[in-house]
Amino acid sequence: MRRALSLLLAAALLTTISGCRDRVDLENVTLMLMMGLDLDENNKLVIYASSPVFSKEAKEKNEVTQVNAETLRDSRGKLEARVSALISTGKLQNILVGKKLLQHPGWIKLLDLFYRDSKTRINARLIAVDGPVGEIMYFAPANKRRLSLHIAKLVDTANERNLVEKATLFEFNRQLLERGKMPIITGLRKTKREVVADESILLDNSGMYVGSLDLEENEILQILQDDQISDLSLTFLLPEQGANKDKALNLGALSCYVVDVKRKVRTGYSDGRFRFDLDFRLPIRLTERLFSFDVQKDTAQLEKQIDKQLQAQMKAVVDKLQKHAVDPIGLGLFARAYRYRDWKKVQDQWGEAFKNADIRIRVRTEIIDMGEIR
Amino acid sequence: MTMIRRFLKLMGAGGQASSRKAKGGAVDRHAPLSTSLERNLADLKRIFTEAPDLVIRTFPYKQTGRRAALAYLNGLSDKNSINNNILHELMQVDEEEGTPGILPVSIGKVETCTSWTQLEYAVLNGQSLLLIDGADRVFALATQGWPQRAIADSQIEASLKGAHQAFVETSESNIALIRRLLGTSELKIKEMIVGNRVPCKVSIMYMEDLTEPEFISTMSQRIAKLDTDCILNTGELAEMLEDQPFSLLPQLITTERPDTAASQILQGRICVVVDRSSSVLIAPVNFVAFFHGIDDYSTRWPIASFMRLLRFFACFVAIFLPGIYIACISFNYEVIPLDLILSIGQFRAAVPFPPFIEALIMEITLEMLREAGVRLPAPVAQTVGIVGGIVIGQAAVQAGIVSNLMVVVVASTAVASFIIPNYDMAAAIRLMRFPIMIMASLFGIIGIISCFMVLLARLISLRSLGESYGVPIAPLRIRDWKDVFLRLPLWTMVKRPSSVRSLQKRRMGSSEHGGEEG
Repeated sequence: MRRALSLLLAAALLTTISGCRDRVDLENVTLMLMMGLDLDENNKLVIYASSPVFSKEAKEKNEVTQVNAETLRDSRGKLEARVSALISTGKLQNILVGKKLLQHPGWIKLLDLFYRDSKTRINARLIAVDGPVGEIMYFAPANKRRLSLHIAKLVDTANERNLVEKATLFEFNRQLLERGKMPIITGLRKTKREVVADESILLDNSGMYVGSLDLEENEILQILQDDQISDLSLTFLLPEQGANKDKALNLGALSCYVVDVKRKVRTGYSDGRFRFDLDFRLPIRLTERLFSFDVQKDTAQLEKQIDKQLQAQMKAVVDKLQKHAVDPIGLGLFARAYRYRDWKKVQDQWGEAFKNADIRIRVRTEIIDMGEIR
Repeated sequence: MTMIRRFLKLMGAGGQASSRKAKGGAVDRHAPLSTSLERNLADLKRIFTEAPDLVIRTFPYKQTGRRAALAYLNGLSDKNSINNNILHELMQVDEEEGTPGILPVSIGKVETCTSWTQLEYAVLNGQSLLLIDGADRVFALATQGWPQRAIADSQIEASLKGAHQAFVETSESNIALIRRLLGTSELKIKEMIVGNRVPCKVSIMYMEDLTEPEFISTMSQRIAKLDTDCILNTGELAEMLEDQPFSLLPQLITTERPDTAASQILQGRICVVVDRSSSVLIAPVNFVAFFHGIDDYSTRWPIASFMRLLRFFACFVAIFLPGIYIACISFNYEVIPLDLILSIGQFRAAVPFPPFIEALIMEITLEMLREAGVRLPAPVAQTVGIVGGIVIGQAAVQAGIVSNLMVVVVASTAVASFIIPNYDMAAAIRLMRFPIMIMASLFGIIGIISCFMVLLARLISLRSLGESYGVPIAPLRIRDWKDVFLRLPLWTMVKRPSSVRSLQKRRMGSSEHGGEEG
């Protein structure tokens, strides 16, 4: 009897409590979909927030606000004083970081909030912006959907085609902490009419900006990393077929899909330098050939011409990376795996060691398909 | 629980039924009958005062020359057989023709009554009483013939491929329907009477060589213990027999289908047929049995298995979907895909109520519509459905009372709850989602999970006729799983479900194995 009474009392009390404190109805949330971090003219931190507006009465479907703040958390109160409801980062899609901020030492410490707060979406894309971040944040092209979602889709699909690298907050943290591999993130820029994702930004292990790779270079990097996501399409100008960069129409061009990347890495160490032998075997599928050639008969000849071009391009990319002393390929992982003692000595200056390393590349392509016509 | 029971007892509801008052003046129902016809008739009239439908016909009994009387209730008795088989014979048969001492009536069942209690019961049951001057006993002749509905298809448990005969309101017909399906002398019937004021015949049917005797004894003990005025319906009986009457979940199956009843009896369960009621009770049952339909066995097994899985999924949807909606909107919107969250946000922005109130409005509207449809005649019910559908589906959204997605949620919940084949279980599940909605609005997904755990614990702890309700899931009986979530081919089910504890385990290949296996 007493037990039942106390149970009843407990049940009655249950109805009076307000529930969990973190209860926020969806309509009381300002879902921050895109966040911008940049330095203004006075070298002060600016935080931008872009979030959707649900109300039918609002003319624009997106609200963008900017505040000056010391840290990200500090910005929240200031943002909430401006936007329509309570700010939430639970569905954060993109974090745009200005190039100016990327060149400022210690900027990555700002990201601490995202990693510490369990409610933040750890899969938000980290994107570098060439130029002022505000321009993109306030940009509202009429022929695109909400820019925050457009950028998210743009980066995802460009990454799927191996055109740019993509790093989520989670992935970025991993790359940052990994000594044998340097972070590389998506680069975005704004033209007059649209937003373009055609760069990958090279960062060193402290997150500082060191350089950038364009579309073609990134494709080559994907091969070097053995990390191609889907069909990787390359176009070559073969000088043997009369290609010449200055012509309006280049009939010596050839395009192909790289179906698969078979990479073999041999690691060596001599005279205080690392040496990496990278052997690639690439089955390719011809998708475009503007010159006439009997592929069935002279396969080896064409393969050789392609190899030569590809090898030169790869060499150029590696040279560029070595020049910048950053290793997004992850050769440090091989050094650690196969030459641990030597690695141990240079592990904290892997960038320098990579710069001095002797990297040799050999490429052998193999045409496995030439398309429907001869 | 005990507290509520005591409370009920204080109120005089659950305790003793009000004691019987002596009716009809000073007739002592246990006194022996008189030998005088006049006195007996006078007593009979005193018992049935104000009963214009009691017909008493006095006539000379030609065989002995004495005076005799025939009494029956008009309307409960079959006039044809009274006229042709009783009155005609008694008034016409001469001394020479008939055999002395043997009643010259052409009626199958003739009982002799020696007390007024028996007499009263017999008359009220439609039998005709033959009172003869000078005899100390009265003959009750089986002339039952009350208004009865034809045997038709079941409305509530319709089946596509099963038999199209459903029980009617007479226990004799219902028993006959079961006997037709189970034509074996092992099918035993134990009759009991329930009800102090209005006695009602209750028949426990079982297979003697299959059914665990404990079930029969428990059931008959429980029925014998009942001390109530009257039972009009199987549902009333079920409520009084249940192990945990305060539970939301039904612990006994009531069915209108003879084939369902027969298949359950064949598995070793018992079936209780209640006179005057068109459904029978099945006991003991487990939770999963409420999700099985008779069509499962008449369709091919992959289809039947798919249907079963669909029903369990529907059960989950019907219980949890509104709760999950509330939890996702109020607490855990991170789990909703981005594009969906944007469209939900747009819908929600137009709605002035919090999600819980929104859900409550819709759920209650739906329940009202459903109940309105049940009570109304079919053509009007259709109109109600259409009006309700338009009002809920479009106008409420356009008026900004509820959001689009809420309509989808409520509609799919409703459809899901209609899939569950057993009405009692479907009703329980419909009710269950309200506490879950409350918990979801207070604690989000954590609230739903705690509700789920409480529900599971309840399922496991419940009993049906003393047997566990969660079997074969908990306690685990892997062998019985052939016929739980899936319905494997019948030839794989060589043995009866072990959870029913039938005396003979094997139901196939018994000719090779002698039929007995312990």
